[in-house]
Amino acid sequence: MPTLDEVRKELDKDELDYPELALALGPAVLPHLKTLVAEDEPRIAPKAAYLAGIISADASHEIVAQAAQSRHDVVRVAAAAAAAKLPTQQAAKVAGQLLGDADPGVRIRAMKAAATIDEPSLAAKVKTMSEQDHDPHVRGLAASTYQRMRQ
Amino acid sequence: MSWHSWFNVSGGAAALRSPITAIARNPNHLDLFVTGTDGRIYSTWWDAASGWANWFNVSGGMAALGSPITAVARNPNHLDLFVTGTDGRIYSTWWDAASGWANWFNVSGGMAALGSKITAVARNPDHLDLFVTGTDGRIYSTWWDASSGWANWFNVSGGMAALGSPIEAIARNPNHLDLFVTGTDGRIYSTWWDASGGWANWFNVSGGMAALKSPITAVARNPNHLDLFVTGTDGRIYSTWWDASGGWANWFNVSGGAAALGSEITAVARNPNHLDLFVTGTDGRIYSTWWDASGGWANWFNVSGGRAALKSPITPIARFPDHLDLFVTGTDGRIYSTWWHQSEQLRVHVKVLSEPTTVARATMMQSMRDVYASVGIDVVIASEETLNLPTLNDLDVGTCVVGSTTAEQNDLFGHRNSAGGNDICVYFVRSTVPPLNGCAAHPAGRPSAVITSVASPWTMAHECGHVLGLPHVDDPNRLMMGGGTWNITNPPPDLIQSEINTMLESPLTV
Ligand SMILES: [Zn+2]
Repeated sequence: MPTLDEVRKELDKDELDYPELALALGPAVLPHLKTLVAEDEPRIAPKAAYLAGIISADASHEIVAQAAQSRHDVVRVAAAAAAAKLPTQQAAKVAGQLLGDADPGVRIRAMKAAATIDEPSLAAKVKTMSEQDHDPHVRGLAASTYQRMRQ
Repeated sequence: MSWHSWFNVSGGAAALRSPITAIARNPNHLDLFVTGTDGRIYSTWWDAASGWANWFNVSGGMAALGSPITAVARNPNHLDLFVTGTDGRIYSTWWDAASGWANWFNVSGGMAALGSKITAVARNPDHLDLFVTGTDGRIYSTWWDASSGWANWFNVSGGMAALGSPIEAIARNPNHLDLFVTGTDGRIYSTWWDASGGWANWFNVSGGMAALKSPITAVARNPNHLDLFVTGTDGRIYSTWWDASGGWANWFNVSGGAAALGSEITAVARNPNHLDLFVTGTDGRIYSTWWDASGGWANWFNVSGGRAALKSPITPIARFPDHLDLFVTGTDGRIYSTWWHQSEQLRVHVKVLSEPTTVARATMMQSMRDVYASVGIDVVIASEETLNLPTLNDLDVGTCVVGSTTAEQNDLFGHRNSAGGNDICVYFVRSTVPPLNGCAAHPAGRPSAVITSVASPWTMAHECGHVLGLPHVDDPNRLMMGGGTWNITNPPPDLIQSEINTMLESPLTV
């Protein structure tokens, strides 16, 4: 079992192969990932959150949900992307929350995740965004995303 | 165009003014020879793969301090050495890739004043011609042929010179030799040998004169052209040329250059339309100038602040047309080298969706320029623009492997604006999905990389390294280390020769 610092160093690479890393480390690494997300360092926390999503074990949801509360946009973006890897109900919860994020980029990433989650309430939220979001880019993407989600 | 700073070669030292002999058996290998401070004959080598080796004594050989060692590579796996030994006898040894170093032997009973230079020319791989001023001041030659071995020494056309005068010899083609020497009257003489007509008489070259024993340097840029260089009796650096169509020209002073009387001017033709000259100037600084068929002679300039004792010879060698290595014994008696490499250009277009947060973008760009400049690549920031593309600011890069790109990458990399097909577009985005510091995967014909807001100072240089074809390595001192450029242990990070070669061979560097 790698130490916290070893996991931190593994995540500090320029490029990572997440599926390979998830396979190598397994669910046992989740407590370390939880710690790293809690530290909320923008260099590491997004990677820890995403890896937790990829590992997709019982404890993953809690870590991704915690990342969704980060004060850093890049951590919440990673949480939105990781949400798509979680079981439907947990995925919908995180994605649903981030669809209402203050940062338009996070909302965009959450919308892209929502499009892959089979949950009607998300489609409804995306439809509303296509009409009411303050950001024209978000509205535009929401409209095309909603079309695809209906099919 | 950049000269590296001087460095001491493997701790080597020699008496002041000792000539360093350098030979490139192949473009990725150098062999050096010198008489060390203890009078032993030393050698070291440099190989592109392994760098500089330690100095070693060649077969127990010795010579008077400062004696020149002559080396010839008749083929890439064979070296012949020549030297005047401590007893005034002319010695030779050879190295063969298969058998290593042989013992020294006296060449046909030949003798010369201590420290005399033995000049050797291989007109073809199975033939050597030697030239030397003998102990009686006569100019002697002998030859070795693979079929008949060593011949007896004979006096060349009655020629004479002061004891220790170096003879310059050059084979413009395999059946022709030209010799040059400062004669006993201080006039510059030449003769030639032709396979059909034998040895000609000595003649004075265009009225030229020099101090007794002054070395004459000859270069054949092509088989029908010779350029000569010498320090004249007034301490000015002179040149003349011979052309098959026009014969000998008048001597002229090269760009106002001057040197102590008897200083050797060394020259190398990196290509048929270019000459580089080197000399230790009257102020003890190491100077160079060049001649180019298109621009003529340039001004003399000091090479990387280099200095040497007056009259120290500078040894240049061009392993490639765009590369020079220099060797010299410095003012402290240490053996120094520097190199010049024609720089190539890499054009980079910077496109900003989001400014980095951990390191300033200007720092990343400067870090990349520094690392690339250290290996002879000028990074030119060809353009900078801001892209307002919020839907691509947290970019889906998929698996980020070479040759595979996502719809979002293809969309983003379509924004090339004015960038040429061999220019790299670097996109600064807020983040990637999955989260990475950067990613160099790009579609064919659109060289691109993305850098995220949490990238290290070296990520931009690293990702562009991938675009140029470099894979990951384990060594944490190197730019391409796979363990993350935030964790580089000894910045600035290194690139090794094989990586530099890959970068220079990329169509993106021109
Ligand atoms: Zn890399």
